[in-house]
Amino acid sequence: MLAEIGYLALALSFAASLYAIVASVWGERTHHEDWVNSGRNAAMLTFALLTLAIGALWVALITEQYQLSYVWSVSDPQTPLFYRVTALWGAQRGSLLFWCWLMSGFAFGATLLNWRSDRRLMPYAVAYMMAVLAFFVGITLFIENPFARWWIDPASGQELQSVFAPAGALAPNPTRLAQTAQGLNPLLRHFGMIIHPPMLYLGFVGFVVPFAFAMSALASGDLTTNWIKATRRWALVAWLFLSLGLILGGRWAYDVLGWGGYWGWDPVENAAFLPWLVGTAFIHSVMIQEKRGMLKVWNMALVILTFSAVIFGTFATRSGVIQSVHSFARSSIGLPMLLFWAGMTGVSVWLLVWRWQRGELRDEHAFVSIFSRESLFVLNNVVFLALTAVIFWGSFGAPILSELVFNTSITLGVDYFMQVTVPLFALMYLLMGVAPLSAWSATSLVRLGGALLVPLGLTLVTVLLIALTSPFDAGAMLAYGLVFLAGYVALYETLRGAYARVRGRGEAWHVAIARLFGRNQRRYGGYMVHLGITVIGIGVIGSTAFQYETRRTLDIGETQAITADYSLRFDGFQRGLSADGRVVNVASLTVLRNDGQVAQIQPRIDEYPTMPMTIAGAHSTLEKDFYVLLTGYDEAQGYGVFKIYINPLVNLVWWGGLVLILGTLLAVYPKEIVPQDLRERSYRQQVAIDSKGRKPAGASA
Amino acid sequence: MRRASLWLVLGLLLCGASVVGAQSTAPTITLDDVHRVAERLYCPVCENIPLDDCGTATCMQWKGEIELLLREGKSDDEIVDLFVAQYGEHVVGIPHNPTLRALSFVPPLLLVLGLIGLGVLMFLRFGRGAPAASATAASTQDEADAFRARLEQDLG
Amino acid sequence: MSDLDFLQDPAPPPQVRKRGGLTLGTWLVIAGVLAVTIALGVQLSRQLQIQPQAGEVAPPFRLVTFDGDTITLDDLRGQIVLLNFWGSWCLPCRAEAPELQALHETYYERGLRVIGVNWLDSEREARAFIAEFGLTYPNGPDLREVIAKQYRITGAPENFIIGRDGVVVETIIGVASYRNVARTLERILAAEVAP
Repeated sequence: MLAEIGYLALALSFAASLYAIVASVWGERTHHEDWVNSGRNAAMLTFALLTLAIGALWVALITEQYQLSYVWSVSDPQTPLFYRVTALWGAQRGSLLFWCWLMSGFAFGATLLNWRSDRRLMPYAVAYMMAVLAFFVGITLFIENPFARWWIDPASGQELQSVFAPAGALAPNPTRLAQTAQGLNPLLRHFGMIIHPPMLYLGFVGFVVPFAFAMSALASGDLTTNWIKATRRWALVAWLFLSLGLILGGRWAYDVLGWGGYWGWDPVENAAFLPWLVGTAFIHSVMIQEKRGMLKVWNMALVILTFSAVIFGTFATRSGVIQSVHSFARSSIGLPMLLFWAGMTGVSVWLLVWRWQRGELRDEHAFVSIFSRESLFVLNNVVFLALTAVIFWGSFGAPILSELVFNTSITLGVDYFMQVTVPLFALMYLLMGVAPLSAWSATSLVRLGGALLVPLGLTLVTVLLIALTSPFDAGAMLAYGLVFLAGYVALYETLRGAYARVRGRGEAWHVAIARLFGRNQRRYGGYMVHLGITVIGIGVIGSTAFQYETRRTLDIGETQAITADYSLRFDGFQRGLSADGRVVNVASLTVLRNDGQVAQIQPRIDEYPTMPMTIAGAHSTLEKDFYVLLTGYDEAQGYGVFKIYINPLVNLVWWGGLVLILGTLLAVYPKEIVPQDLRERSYRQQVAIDSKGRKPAGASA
Repeated sequence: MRRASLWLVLGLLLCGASVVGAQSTAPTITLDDVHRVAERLYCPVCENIPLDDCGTATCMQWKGEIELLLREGKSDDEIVDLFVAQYGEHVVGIPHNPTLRALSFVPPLLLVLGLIGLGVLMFLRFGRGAPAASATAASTQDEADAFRARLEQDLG
Repeated sequence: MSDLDFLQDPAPPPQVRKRGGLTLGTWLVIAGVLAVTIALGVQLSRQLQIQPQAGEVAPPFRLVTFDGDTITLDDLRGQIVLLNFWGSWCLPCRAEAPELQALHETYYERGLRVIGVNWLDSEREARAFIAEFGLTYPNGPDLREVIAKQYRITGAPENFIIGRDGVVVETIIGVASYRNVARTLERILAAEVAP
């Protein structure tokens, strides 16, 4: 019953999304309001239908309907309720449905919230969002259907997978199905992995909204900054989720994958990082268009590239074109996805070129000085795109070309990415330090230098202090300098703004800061994000440049000195069988610092029927993580083999992530500036303008 | 892969035993020495996992091999070269073959240069024909005033 | 900045710039998208390829054995070849080795050539394995995985029975047991006797 409901809802949502495209475009082109409204309703209906479909799958997972082959493949009778719920995105088929559902949710929200204020953009925006949705619902429905069930052909006794019963087929014995059910992939039984995919998907689908509005601007001819204003928050929300997804992914790797790090430059990790980089360039560069009416073509190109990176990232993870611990199993959705990616990118580029050649995307201002904020923003864009390009090349370009042309597989690893990305990251931090101090249109070098004085002084003092207290490393000191400069500038600019209020208006400091943030959430939220990126940067430099790693063999009861002040004692070893059928091997260790006991840690190896998992034991402080992995054990002779890592400042990566999230939330938080009646008036005014076919000329913003 | 990974747990134990056993006879080669070399190599069967972090039976055997080669007095570089000769370019993080190395490094360099060119082009070309901006912030003299003017410009 | 700013946005100047053809940049973008699509498409289709199956022509190979002899598939034309991929680290291979040796001893006279391709192994371990099982058929290391790539090996052991005409007769993913291989061989030999 659940399979039928789910399948029907999925099929109807596919039909509804196709209908929405046709009705919206037809209605807009022929100026039939009824059709446009009908298209909107169909688009919003897809969310309801997909909610029903996903609800059916969730109920099936929770009530253990093992006849559904998806349920059978991701859970078993021992799976606890929590993992039953999260198993929805535990494998390809369910997670595709989940992707569709989130996508339709975003489309629903964008349609609902932007319908009145952006009436002119909406029909094409709906059409574009529905086109993306229709494709994903289509591959879920026709290729990777999560509602397929097990059947047995009585004649041959063979098992079959199909949604509806083939002629004469019988349902398999439920007890037998429950016994053979496969259970959730052990790698996914971690909090970070539970939250990481939905966050990443939300980030991915979120960027479809700005893309759809941009393409609608090109298609409809409303080439003002309306599309940017309509989607600014959507882009930031998408960026927030993407950042969160990446940070949680790093945390998961750190806790579960057992190699002492959080970012391995694996192609699939990189595939999720690429949209983040392009998206970051995008959310910076649209500000120039809003403020100065410049870079119209560039912003369009960036939004196309962001969307392109999103679809490419999905393709890379799901098609099996690149093998990785993070990717789904090989699947036949690769080719359709590739064609969709190429088609969408092609159509969008064509639209952009068409408008551009008609001369409709001309900029309203020219660059005046190299030291203006807009030119520094352009430089920022160049850096982000350069990062995107080199990471793409290292993860996909070079390995695939080497395979195709030279028939040789190559691996480009951490060393490669350190060489090609570190100079660019350094430049990124430098720009983060300088750009906020520059003014729009022009800044004199003297003035820029003057504004830099205080942050630069603070940076020098900080780096000097670090150099005195830690082992000297020129590269790391330079990196610290750039990162701290960016952070101090963000802090200094905020305090300076508050000080101007304190002095000019006589406000108290806390009032001044609160009002400053309230007056321009976006600017100060942005500075807070910069601060978060700085904190992450400090953590990354500390845990990369100053990581200490050693392998030790310890007998039970033995204490070994690990560094000058840390030592480790091996207290004992236990082996046990857990309720869900894994064999758990736990080593108990005591961490000693200057001979004083600081922590008990228990690294372990969980042996699942399919694979072993190495779970670290860590003594974690803000200063450093003392991180231990159990890699081998001999019970008869009573010794264990351990990998020990000391990761300085690694926790700042997570704390920086938190600051980044708060900053983004501050920038996004809706502030009701325009009262409802005024907004409606502006809507009517706009409709009136539309019907006359021209817009009044006005002063630039 | 599945067949190989079945023997992983056994490999774990074997490795522990063999390396530790070896350590007692030749105290000069430690686990850290093996790690130093293994860190530069990648697992041949599981893509993109450094040999050092890989627990499959093959990887364990490789690490044993590194230890033996070290004990024979081979240098780190010699061992890495031997592994490349035996198993191919994909066991190192940056290819040794000059052509493949060029393939890895030259295009990104060109891409970055191209993007810088694009930035310059935008700077030179995009404003052409558009009205020149009035430099509002540049006219004020006092530093604090200039800052406030800039702030107002941003906020307003 | 307020949400009403859009009311003041200037209309784009309605001047239409006519230009002949597309700019260089546009061509570059189009070429880039096409190139990426084609490269990924080819890569994707290669990934979906599997080991050579019965009826396909066996890919040529050249193997230098541990004893220093060079064997190529062309040299073996006219013989029945059992190409075995193995590694000393692979437990099923340990069960398989005596069976292969027995096949070699029984069927060599009637034209069977067992060839062992040592995959992802160290020479030291491989030689120890050969000595342990007393293997007398030729074995050699697959340096840089050249042969394994040709045959799209996914694990060890994997076996290919190649007919006298160089066409694959049977692909065995997993252990080749004496009984199964012997059955195939008898079938081939019987077909040759009574054409």
